[in-house]
Amino acid sequence: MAGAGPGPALPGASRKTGGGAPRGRGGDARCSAPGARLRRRPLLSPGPGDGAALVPGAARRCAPPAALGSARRGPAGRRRRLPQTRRLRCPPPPAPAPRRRAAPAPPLMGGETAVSSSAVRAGTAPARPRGALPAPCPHPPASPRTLPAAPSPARTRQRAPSACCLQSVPPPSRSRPARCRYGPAGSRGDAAGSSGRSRPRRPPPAPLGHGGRPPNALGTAPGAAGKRGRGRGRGRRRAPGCPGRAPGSDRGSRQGERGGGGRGPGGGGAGAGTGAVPGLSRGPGAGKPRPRAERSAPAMTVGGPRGGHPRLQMPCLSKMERMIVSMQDPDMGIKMRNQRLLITVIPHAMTGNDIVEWLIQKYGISEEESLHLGNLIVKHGYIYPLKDPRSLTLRADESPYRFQTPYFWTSTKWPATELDYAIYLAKKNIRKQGDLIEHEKDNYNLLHKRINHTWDFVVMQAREQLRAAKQRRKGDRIVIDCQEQAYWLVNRPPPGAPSVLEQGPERRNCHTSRVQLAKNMDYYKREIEYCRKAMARTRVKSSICLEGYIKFNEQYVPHDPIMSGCLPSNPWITDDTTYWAMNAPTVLTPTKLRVERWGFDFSELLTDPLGRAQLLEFLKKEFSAENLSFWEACEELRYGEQSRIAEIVDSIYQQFLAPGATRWVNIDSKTMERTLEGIKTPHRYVMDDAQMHIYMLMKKDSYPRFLKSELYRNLLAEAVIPPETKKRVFPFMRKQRHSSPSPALLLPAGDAEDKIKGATAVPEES
Amino acid sequence: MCKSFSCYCPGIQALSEFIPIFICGYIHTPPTLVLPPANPEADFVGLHHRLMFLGLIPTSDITHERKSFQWQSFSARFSNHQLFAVHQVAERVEALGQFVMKTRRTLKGHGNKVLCMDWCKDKRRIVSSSQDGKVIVWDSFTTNKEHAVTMPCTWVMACAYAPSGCAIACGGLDNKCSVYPLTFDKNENMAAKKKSVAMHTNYLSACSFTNSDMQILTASGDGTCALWDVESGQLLQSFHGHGADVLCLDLAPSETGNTFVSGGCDKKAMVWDMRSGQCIQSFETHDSDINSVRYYPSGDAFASGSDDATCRLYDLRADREVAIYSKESIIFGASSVDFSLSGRLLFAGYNDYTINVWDVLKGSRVSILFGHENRVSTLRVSPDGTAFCSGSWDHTLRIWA
Repeated sequence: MAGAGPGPALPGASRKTGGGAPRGRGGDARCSAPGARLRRRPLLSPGPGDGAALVPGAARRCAPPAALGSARRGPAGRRRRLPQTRRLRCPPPPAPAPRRRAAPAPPLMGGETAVSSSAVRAGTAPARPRGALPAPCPHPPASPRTLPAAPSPARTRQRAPSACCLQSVPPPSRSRPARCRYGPAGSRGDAAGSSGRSRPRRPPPAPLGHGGRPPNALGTAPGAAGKRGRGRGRGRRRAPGCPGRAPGSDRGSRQGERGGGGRGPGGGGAGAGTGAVPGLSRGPGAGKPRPRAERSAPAMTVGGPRGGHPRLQMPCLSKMERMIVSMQDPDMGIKMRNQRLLITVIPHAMTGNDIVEWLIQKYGISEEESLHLGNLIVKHGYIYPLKDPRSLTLRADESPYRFQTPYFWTSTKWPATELDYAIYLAKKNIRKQGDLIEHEKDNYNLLHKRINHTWDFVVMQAREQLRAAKQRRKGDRIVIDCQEQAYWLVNRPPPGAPSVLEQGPERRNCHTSRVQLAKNMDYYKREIEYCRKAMARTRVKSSICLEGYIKFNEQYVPHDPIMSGCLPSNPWITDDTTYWAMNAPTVLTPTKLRVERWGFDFSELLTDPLGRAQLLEFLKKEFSAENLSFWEACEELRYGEQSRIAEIVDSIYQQFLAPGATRWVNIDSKTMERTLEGIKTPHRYVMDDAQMHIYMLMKKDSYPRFLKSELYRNLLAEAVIPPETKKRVFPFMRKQRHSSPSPALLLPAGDAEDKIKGATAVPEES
Repeated sequence: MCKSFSCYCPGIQALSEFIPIFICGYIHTPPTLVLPPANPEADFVGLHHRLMFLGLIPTSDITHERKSFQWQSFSARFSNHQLFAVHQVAERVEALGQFVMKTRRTLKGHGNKVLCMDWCKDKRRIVSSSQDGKVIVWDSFTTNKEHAVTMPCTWVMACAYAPSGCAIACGGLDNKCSVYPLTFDKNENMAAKKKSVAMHTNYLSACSFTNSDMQILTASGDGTCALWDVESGQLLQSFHGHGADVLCLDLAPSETGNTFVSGGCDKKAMVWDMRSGQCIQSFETHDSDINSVRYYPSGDAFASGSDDATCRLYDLRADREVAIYSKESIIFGASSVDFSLSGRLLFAGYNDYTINVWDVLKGSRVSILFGHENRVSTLRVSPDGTAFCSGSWDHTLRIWA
């Protein structure tokens, strides 16, 4: 193994050599012997019975990088179906512990080609070279047991995505390799394994930093990796220094050279390859450290889901994942069965009807809503259609659907990189012999230009993956293709189609906020002040508040056109604007409801221009009209232009406050004193006290008298109750909709005075 | 219990209530729920804090003091945190019957996602802004476009109609709030009359005129809200306190209140005193960004919609959350909320393309409205409550009645 250099030939080579190589603690530390591992695999393989079958046998012949995913998944299983019972027995993956003991496990599948392929796999699997993307496990994402029933979002995020694929990934505890996106760690481990043990090594401080991260996110246990991803040095550490290791056997050649893989090909020279081109092809984000995914709270939403940026969790995704997991519950979930797609039988699929039905049952929602919800799930790529895989929509019929493997879940942290996309497109291009869809063609050309330096790698990957695919059963192939396509449809939606991942401009939450609150003395003082006030605040019992809502509600329901309709008719429904005409700010005879409403509260009266006019009239009779005028003037001051403050204050003083003023208002001496004091340095709120005083005076004194007055009673008596408009005889004849003059026309702009009046006359709606 | 704290004046007699809260008969909380007296140590800590508060023990440093306050205000609120929700009180309220609302108008014309809209006081005009920088004034009744302005930036996330109906304000990624007077003079270019009012250091997420055309209140991604004088562009007051982007704000409906509420990415909703710039109350029970806040029509409460797929109702007098509107099948965030005129219905636009209508008092969902083909980004009830308008990323606005 030692010499196994890079090179496409690798797989074979490693196979031989690595035969005995247990994965180091890196890869599958738990199994000491490859055979064991193999044997074990099937057990763990989460897949459906046929899952095993799904596993491409790719690894068998050559461990093409592409095969990695699948190889991992269950080499042993290939071609064989696991008896149901077996599968059931296997421990849920999140508890990988048993795996360590795997060695003694009964040689389930031991035989066949085990050694050789295992070797391959051993080498391969972990070190999925970049680009291995497509091969991830084809199994349904979480065979029920794979995922914790209701994983907390965090957990889901952490493991779920890879739950399935992770099977072959070592437990997080010790074998950290999983963290490395690339998995090179794993491979390294394997390599090490060959020599019997791995020596932890401190990573040299050098450029590996990110080198530790393999370039291809997809490479290895994606989920795990993604998240913990930057366990930079992790892999390294595990990287055996020993020359004997098969340098990334499969991971190989190319990768090493590119430095992507990090651990260089050179056996002994751990850092060799790595350092060279750190993060070279990692995609846009290559050079910069990504913010730790863990730290990003789920709440975060981020603008650019693309490129090298990590995709931050949208909270809805974790909820959706929980939903998906419960859909796969063996007892309560959707019942899966084989579905026929033309002549191919696709295992573990369900129909659109099943999904809709299940949602209806589970959430007690209408069929329409259920279809809508299901459709969204499909749009987010958690379930993909087998028929017509190009359009991610849910049809409530017999068309077959399948759960996306967690590896491809939208929430996975690793970004969908250009490289992966390039490989995908290249593959498609080869398969379709250049006949790509228009936008894909464009993307292909673009990528070709942009990452030209790695293009041969891309092509090689694509070829290898295709070759691997050829060896799969047809059903598997379809499934894997669909999975991959669904993934890219979500992550690279065709132009024009809305992207479900789009989040809008970037927001930051508290953890990454750019808002730096200076935590200085002032800050704490303010906080103390706030707390002090909070303590002193009288809190009303909530039951009383709630009574308040009910009362308010009872009072206003008749006035709420949406709740109880409106007379004569709702203009939006009938196109008849009589209602608006009757309730215009100034009409001769207000409607009954409107007049009644004035009686609810003083502010109701004040906010209605007509009501205010009536009040003014009433106050005039009482010789206290100046109160209202004063209050209006104060409002004007409070909400008026900054530049006119002094002027307005002065005019208020002249009109209302100066001794002997024409409309002198009656304010108690204390308030008056304070106000007059304040006037010397006029500001916006200088009249606040006085204004409040007058407001309360009107509210407590004039308003009740207004309500009892002849004036109001007359208004109430004269108010009209408009008759309901009759349904038109010819409802199909559409009523002409007339436009109304714009308020901007009514009030000629430029006349500031007018504007203010207009503004205060129609105060902000609630 | 409220009393136990309000009467908490510095005085020795306050010491006697060092088993806080419990002694007084105001509590509805089952004892097990109340933290402080649960164990002696907690008692001690509580006492210690109280002593410090009373000035009987010198506070070692200001941070310490702060902690003590936080603890106290926490416990104050906690003890008030009874386990009953609105709908329990509202049991005797009649349930709402079948509820029919339909799209009555569809406003098409934006070339990209509609991000924000606002009603004019005339009950039929609408201003809307979109991702491509266009701001359109519609006569929504006839669905005619009356004005269109192109902003120099994309993502115009905020727009507002002036109360007089003579101007609009908008802003977005340009970090500014621009006011455009509306004019019908064909020869006059609206963009020429643009007035840049507010300058933030990050995107403008919301804006609203106060009771006049002369002042505008803005919220921004830089974590602050600010009140500006339109004419001079002068900053009248700024509001610091949010720990992250502020996403929304709403003015209190009552003319005496002079407060507004804001919500942001720090999951907090804060109530501010416009005059002093102080935060009066803050609520933090959402699990994710608060996308929208709206005052209850009476001004005593406000509702919030958040990315955690819930809407909540906070009562200002009780100083706590009083209701939560959520459903297991709703997994996408609520982007926008608004009340019907009577406060009985809460309309909430969601990122799952739907609009859910909640019964505020019962806490249950009354209806779900389909129609939009992408997420609903904004939703406002018309000033007279006859309809509501929703804007969506599907480039359209719809009027529902």
